[in-house]
Amino acid sequence: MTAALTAATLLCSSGCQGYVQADDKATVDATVATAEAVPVPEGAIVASDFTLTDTNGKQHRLQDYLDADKTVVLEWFNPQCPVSKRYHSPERKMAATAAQIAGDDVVWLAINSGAPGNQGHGLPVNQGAIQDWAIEYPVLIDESGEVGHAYAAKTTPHMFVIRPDGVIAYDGAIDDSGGHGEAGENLVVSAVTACRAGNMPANSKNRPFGCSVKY
Amino acid sequence: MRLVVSCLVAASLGCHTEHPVSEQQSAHPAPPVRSVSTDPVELVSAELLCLTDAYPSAGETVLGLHLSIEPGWHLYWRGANDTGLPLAVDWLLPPGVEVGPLQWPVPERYVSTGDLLDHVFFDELTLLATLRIPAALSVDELTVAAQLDWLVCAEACLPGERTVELSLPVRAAGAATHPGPGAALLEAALAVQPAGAPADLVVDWSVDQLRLTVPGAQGLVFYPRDDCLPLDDLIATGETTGDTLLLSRDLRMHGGTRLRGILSVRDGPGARVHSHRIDIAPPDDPP
Repeated sequence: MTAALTAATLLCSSGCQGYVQADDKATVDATVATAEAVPVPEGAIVASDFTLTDTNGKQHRLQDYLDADKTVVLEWFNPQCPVSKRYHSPERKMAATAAQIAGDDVVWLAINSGAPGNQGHGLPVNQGAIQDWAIEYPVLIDESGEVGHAYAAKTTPHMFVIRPDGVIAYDGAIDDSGGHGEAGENLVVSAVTACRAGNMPANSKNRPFGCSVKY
Repeated sequence: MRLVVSCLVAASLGCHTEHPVSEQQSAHPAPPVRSVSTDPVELVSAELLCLTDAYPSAGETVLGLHLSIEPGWHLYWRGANDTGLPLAVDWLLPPGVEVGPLQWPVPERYVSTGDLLDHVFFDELTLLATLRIPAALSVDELTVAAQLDWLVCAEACLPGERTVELSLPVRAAGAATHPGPGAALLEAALAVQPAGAPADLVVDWSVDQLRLTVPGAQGLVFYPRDDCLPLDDLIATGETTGDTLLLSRDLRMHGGTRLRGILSVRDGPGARVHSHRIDIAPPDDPP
């Protein structure tokens, strides 16, 4: 897996679209050599590595977590987006989701890809939200938008679940509510549950909802 | 009342009747910079209207929800949008009163930073719905209300909600009625509702693509609904100046199986655009 991830990382550092489709030879020549050695599901997408700094100045590298056998949940975040806000306060659905799947095998990282000057950008407003909403996981700052673009993150929230082998198991909405009304299924919980059982989730990609990421 | 007057003017100028098939993406200049703390109440105003000046007992009439949007800001269609939340409407109805499905006007394609495509409304929109009062009512007056919930965005996004209501007298169906509040606006909205699928539309299905052809057209735009089968790369493929749209299917995306949405057709240079509702099952789908 590390080889494929490295290929993906190299491609992305040289300006690819970040997402690497493991079985798409036409798109990604560099992964062809490694794909045979990597038992990934057909059509699986391999996460591109990143290193970002959180609001406390601490660096987080995706590959370090994967190497430690963690499943990584990514939440695109904007503290001033009303949809992010709704999921953090007052209903605290995001915290409840994180608590529901918490364990030594899961790491949850929020990422803010807003550009300087845009809604939700800047350390004070992010630190304030972490405190006000009692967010217990790191909020990583990606003000260049490089990581957001690499994952084609569209909305806040937009959720990803990455298996320890680097495969993106889930790319989509936090739940099936469409942003209005009651959710029938928390799709992130379903995805992590499937990963723990060694499966891909039944619904591994759907359209997220929320504010646009403020690139 | 200012709202109705300004919109009647807009309607008489042909609002929603001319949707340029191309060049839409640049139709709107960068929205004015607004403070994030702007009160959302100022950004969208809403009103409940009726085609008639009375609710028909044991009959039908047309209700309209008219929203005016601060220049530069937009509301979202219930389309296959990359971002946003569609305007949501919950009717609050007296017992025995029913409202049919919402009929939306044709949205605009809107591309924002990060190659994000949304289907949105600028300036104003009017949603229509049929009000049915199935049985004779023994009341003189009825109040119909709707609770609206939206996300309005420009550079920033803000939530908004409002409850609008309209009280009108109840008259026997068939009794003489007069134009109701905002009737001219509703007539204008009814006149530009999408029609059924064009008779000469040809849809060719393949595993990963859909080819939509309206022979002789000089411009097509497809606006997929949120329950349309998933499509990819719509920024590039969703509109053309020719007579054929080649849509790419997104085979990984969870979603619908039918081709559902609105197809706008321009018959020639400068010709009026006409819009059509599309709802087509894949060929192997049993009817």
